Amino acid sequence: MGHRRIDLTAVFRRARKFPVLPVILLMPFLVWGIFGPLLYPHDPTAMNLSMALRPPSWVAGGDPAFLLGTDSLGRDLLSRLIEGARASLLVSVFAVILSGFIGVTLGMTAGYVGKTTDNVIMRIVDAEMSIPGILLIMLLSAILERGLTTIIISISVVFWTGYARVIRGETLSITQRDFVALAKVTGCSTFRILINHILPNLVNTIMVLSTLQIGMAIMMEASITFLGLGIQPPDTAWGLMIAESRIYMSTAWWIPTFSGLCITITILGANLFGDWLRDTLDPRRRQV
Amino acid sequence: MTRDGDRSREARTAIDTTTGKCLLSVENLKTYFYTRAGVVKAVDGVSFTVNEGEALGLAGESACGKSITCLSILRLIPQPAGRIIAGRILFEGEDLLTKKESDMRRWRGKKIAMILQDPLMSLNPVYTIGNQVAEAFRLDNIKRALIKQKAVDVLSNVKIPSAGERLDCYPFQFSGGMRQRTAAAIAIARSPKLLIADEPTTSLDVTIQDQFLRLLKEMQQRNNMGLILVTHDLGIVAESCDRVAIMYAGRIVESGSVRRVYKNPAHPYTQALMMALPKLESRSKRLFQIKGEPPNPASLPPGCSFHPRCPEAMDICSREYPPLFAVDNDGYALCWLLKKGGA
Amino acid sequence: METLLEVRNVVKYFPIYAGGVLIRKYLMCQAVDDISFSVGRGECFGIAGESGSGKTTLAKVILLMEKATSGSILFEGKNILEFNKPDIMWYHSRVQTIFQDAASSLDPRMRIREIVGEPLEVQHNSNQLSQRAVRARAEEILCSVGLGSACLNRYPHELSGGQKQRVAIARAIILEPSLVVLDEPVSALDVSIRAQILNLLADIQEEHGLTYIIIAHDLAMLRHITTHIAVMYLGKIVELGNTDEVFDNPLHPYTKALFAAVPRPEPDRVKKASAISGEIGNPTCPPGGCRFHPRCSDATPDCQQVIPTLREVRPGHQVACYAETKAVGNTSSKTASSV
Repeated sequence: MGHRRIDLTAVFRRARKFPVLPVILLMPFLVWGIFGPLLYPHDPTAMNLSMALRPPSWVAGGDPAFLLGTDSLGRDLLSRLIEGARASLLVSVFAVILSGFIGVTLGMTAGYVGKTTDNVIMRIVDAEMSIPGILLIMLLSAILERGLTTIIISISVVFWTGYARVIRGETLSITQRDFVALAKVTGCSTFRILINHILPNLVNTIMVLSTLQIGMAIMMEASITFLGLGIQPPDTAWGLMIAESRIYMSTAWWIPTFSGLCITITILGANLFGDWLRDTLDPRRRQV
Repeated sequence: MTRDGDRSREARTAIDTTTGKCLLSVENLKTYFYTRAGVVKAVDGVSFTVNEGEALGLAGESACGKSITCLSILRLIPQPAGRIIAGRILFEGEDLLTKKESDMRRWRGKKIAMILQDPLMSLNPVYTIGNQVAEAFRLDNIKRALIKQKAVDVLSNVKIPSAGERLDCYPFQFSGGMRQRTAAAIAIARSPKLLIADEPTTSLDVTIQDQFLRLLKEMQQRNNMGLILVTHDLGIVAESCDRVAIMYAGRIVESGSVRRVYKNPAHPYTQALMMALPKLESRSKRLFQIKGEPPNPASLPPGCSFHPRCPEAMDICSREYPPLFAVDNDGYALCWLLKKGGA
Repeated sequence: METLLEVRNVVKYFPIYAGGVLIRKYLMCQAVDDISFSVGRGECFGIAGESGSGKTTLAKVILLMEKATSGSILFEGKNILEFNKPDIMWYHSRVQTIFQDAASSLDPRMRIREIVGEPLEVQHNSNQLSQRAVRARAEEILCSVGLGSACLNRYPHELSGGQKQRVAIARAIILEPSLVVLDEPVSALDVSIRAQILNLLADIQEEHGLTYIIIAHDLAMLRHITTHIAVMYLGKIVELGNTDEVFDNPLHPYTKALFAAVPRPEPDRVKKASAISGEIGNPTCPPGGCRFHPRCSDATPDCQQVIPTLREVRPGHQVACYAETKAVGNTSSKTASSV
């Protein structure tokens, strides 16, 4: 079996353009996710009803101790956002990795092997895509224990079909190209061709898909939590915070706004980072 | 007699032996592409003329600028990257580069028509053949009742069998040769004065190519059209064209009547091309090969673009691009070797 | 001369779906229909033909990229169509190929040294060739095709068309095969580079003692490089023999028309009116009898009934045509009787 390491020195030489903007956007959330407990200005679960629904510190009525304001139970918004970062990021990253792994493997196999295998896999994809995602997730949540792992599994079960379809199409077009035929004529095994030839040429598509999926995963997690199927209080995630603050939209605007902003900036950062990563890994784009 | 190095318009017309009314006169055309990598001088000072009833062959390899020259004549250069920065294109006396876009649109297809390389791309797959041929007539405001008959006539002229029944066929039901003939029929439907064919037979089989080129010649002679035939195949030029212009790296390096250029090529590039072709009649021990590769238009060598590959390159060739030198009163070539008295 | 490859009555039909949902109807595309020829060691065998002739399908069957419908192909005496997996691996180390589109033949994500070294890694897995040995061999082969060691670490898109084709050639010969099948090796290259690559192919053939099967439509190129030639039309061989013999004395009406249609750089040559009319037939429903008869100006009523077989009418020259075999037969019988 051959091995082709990604040539790291060449990669870094090629990365002339350091991804400044994505890093700036994502770094705070990554830091929050990793070092969360060390950064809380207050305990996210500490309730203080006398300080409930305080606006951010720069607005009249705000308290400098609570930088971004408080929620309905007097908990510090900033601390809860930091806590929520962890859950949201964990869920979206692992869900995307897991669904990507399943989707790419099955999509590649379907596209390359073809015939019956392709038919079977694609009919499973068709069948699953015809069931609304939320419904599937509700079913799964009913079967499995509520919690972080369940959400990750549920989201992966819904998302892998999107990967499989697209990757299958890409694989079909890559298989048409002469170098795959030449690899067969040289005596390469199917496994070697898939790993050494087809997969590297799918990297572009996988990158683009993954960054789109991270955003969708965060939103999906928010929807699940909104329905009460996901992360349970007192744990928190950004989606849950938006759900809980629905009724306070016009009065306590800071709760949904800052949670929503966190989600938006994370998705934007992920998309931009995905673009940079795709450009860096593609040897062709090295040239102007 | 002209002085060596004289590039004036009068000199060129005198050098290019011409018969018939002059239809198109391209003077010092320059089309550059401005990319992040730098300026790509796709066409760098090209001049030629085409007369009524005459076929000019524009021959050269890939990236020599022949297709861009044709697109420049029709002002279809992809913008904003590409720009025609210099030159005049006189068609029946009027400079096409000064015309408004709306005027050009009326002229395209009506006065100057074009056939492209890939017939599958030229025809719209979702419309019937009849519909696409009729489109040409609709632009001319021909009465609806007459359009169908005219379409059948035009398709019969390009020897499509049972043209009347074929009007309802879709392009995918036609073979490659028939599609290309349909594209030719659409091109000449409005009786243009000048037809530009950009590598029309590259995707066709040899026997079909032969049929198509004969058809093109017939069409040209019947309508007394001027024809610019762009190709890389010197055999096609010999059989279908009256005059030839050999292009290399954005310039015409040799021009003249087909007979003169093939019998007595003056430019080393032309000579090398002729020698490198394998002959059908006899086997040669080893083919004459030109060293090196065609240059990248984004980074051309200094002086004469061909000098790195030229077996007879001199000192001056790497410093200055050679000017025009007359050859045998029949065309010209851009090569220092032709300068009388040595460089 | 020792026969390296012998193709016997090879047939390859493709089922084409022609309608129906529950009960699917299929038409048979008769891409290759009963082809037989043999290639001797050290020869350069050319296969000429236009689209629909089946030459590319034939190449794929020889390379075991497609499964033949029936027939046998003997390589060094063994029938490759009955090979099992280890035999097929061995076959792939003895027979290699070069395709027309050099850009598509090279994996855009692999470096040149990886592309050229891959056959070694795949075939010599058991011998555990070290990375360094593979790299050294790759460098050696690249030098022999005229590419310097600077190319080793480059990616395909950084090379020109001619250089890419040289890489493809290097990859094909690194395992030192006996037979190389070339499918239109130079038609996608610039005219000024074709001569370089053709000369390189000739040099390599001599240096490594290779046998070539070249599939092309460029007849002048085939004349220059091949020793034997087969002309195919709609899945059948219509003429077969020594290159010089066939080119100097074409017998089949299709071959004659093909040669006449090739454009030549001779402005003074008067071209005869085309002896061929109509479109190339459809391999899915080919004409009955001789496949060429609808376009042939010499067709007789016999030609519509029975398919002609290849018959040797001159030494080293076979043709499948009733009109021609009769004509040559008549002259030869006349000379025979006069002796």
